[in-house]
Amino acid sequence: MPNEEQKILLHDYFDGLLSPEEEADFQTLLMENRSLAIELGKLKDLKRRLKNMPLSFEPPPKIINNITDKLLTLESTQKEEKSKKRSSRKNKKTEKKNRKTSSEVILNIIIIILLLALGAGGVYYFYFINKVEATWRISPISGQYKIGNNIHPLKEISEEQIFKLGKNSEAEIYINDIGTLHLKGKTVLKVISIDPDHGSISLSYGHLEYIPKPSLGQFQIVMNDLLITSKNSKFEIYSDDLGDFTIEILSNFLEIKFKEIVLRFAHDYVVKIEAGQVLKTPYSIKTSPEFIKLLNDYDYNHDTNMLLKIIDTASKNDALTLHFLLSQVDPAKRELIIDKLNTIIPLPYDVDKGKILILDKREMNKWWNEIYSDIY
Amino acid sequence: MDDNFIDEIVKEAKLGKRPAFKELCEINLKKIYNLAYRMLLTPEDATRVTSKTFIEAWENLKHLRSDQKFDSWIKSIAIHKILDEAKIGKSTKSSGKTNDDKSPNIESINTKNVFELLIMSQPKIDRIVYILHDLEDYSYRDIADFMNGLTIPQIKAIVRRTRENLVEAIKYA
Repeated sequence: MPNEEQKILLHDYFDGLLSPEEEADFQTLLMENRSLAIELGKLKDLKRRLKNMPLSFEPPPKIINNITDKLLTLESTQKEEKSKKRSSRKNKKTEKKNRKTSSEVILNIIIIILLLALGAGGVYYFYFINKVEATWRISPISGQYKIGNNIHPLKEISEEQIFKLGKNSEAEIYINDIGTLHLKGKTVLKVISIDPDHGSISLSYGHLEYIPKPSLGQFQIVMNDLLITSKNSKFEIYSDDLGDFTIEILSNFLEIKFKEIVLRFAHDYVVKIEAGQVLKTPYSIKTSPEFIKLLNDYDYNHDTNMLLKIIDTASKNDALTLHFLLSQVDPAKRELIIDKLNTIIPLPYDVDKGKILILDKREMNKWWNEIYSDIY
Repeated sequence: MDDNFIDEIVKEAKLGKRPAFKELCEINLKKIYNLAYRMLLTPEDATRVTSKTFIEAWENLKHLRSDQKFDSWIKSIAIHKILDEAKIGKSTKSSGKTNDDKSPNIESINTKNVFELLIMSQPKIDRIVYILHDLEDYSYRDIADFMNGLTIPQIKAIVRRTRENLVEAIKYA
């Protein structure tokens, strides 16, 4: 057996780190010491195996699209920042110019404005008060926000306007007759509809919590191919640096329309959406970390063994996750999920297992309702 | 792949053409993903690091010199991202430890290659140093620069130990 010093020399020789003289000496040693020569052979074999090792891990197919989507987002943010800088420079120039105007002209203008404002205020109060009630009002909590490119923020926001909340800022938007949006930190959204019964926004990124009023009005968020609808559900949604969104349902249930399929997610469930368009398997906040890890792994490789482990370890808390998985797997595996789910929340007497196997929408909803009412 | 062809795509990408950069991503995706997976052991971490790597590459493409090869350049970005993800660098400097983790759980790793599995079952720092040196052909000096705290003799000792562990493990594989 080679001693420690010889071993160090052996590895240095193998790495080509010895000087020509040291190399010659070591080659002489190799001829005399058979065990050292065997060790060298083992190292060469190791290197051969290493260099022949294939690239065996397949990246998720959506990764390139996620990257290019992110690049597009970065590009548009950079363009927006440039345009903001340009507009800020322009505004500064205008401000300088305005300062040069004589104080007499300003005084006259102020008097005229005051008179006009008094008149307009009266008309506004008596005739347009109802319209004001139909706008979305902003209540800043801390930091800064902008509507469009307005440097001096307004207190109201209307359709087609873009609302931007600054980093480390906080604000609330009151949506008449529907609810409140509580925004936390850097967030960008566009108002689509301020209809009192049917408010909706498009969310680019950020962090918001929706608190509904107990009413029949509904609130919707559009994100690429996804449409999130809350009728009476409190939820929180936040995005990370890669454009992935996490939705935590805090009360009742949310509907998410994804590629023409409408899915329902109950409270205490977490739904993740990668790059705003890939829906991952939802899970309950009460489930175990091991179960979440299994779901993550399954989302990436759709490995049958992983699915079997998921089915095997699922508990009552995971019933709605299993129900979701029914629509994500092929019919052969669907039966395994039905059997497991049946042991947790039995199929209602009027639900046909055969129709569940073909994902009949009505039967699927009946079973979902049964699970929902049993758990909550 | 033809170097001239790659150079042409890199030139296009440096002009801000996204389709060219997308092509560079596609060409290098599997290599970067496998590098990240072997070092970090989970598909989630590997995906995150791969995405971050390509996004950083796009943002810094103007800094790629004409004498640098795109694949080597992006690989070095990936290694920095992987070391950040694995929280290696500053921690090794302060503690001086060369192996601050236990053997990883490799049950969830989906590979049929037993030798690959043996490499991935090595402790974190041993695995990363060994892959950098013996598989990715970085010199001990390069690795010392990456690891920011491990000395060359420490790195050589890690490579030696890992090789010996693997030689031993192959006997029983």
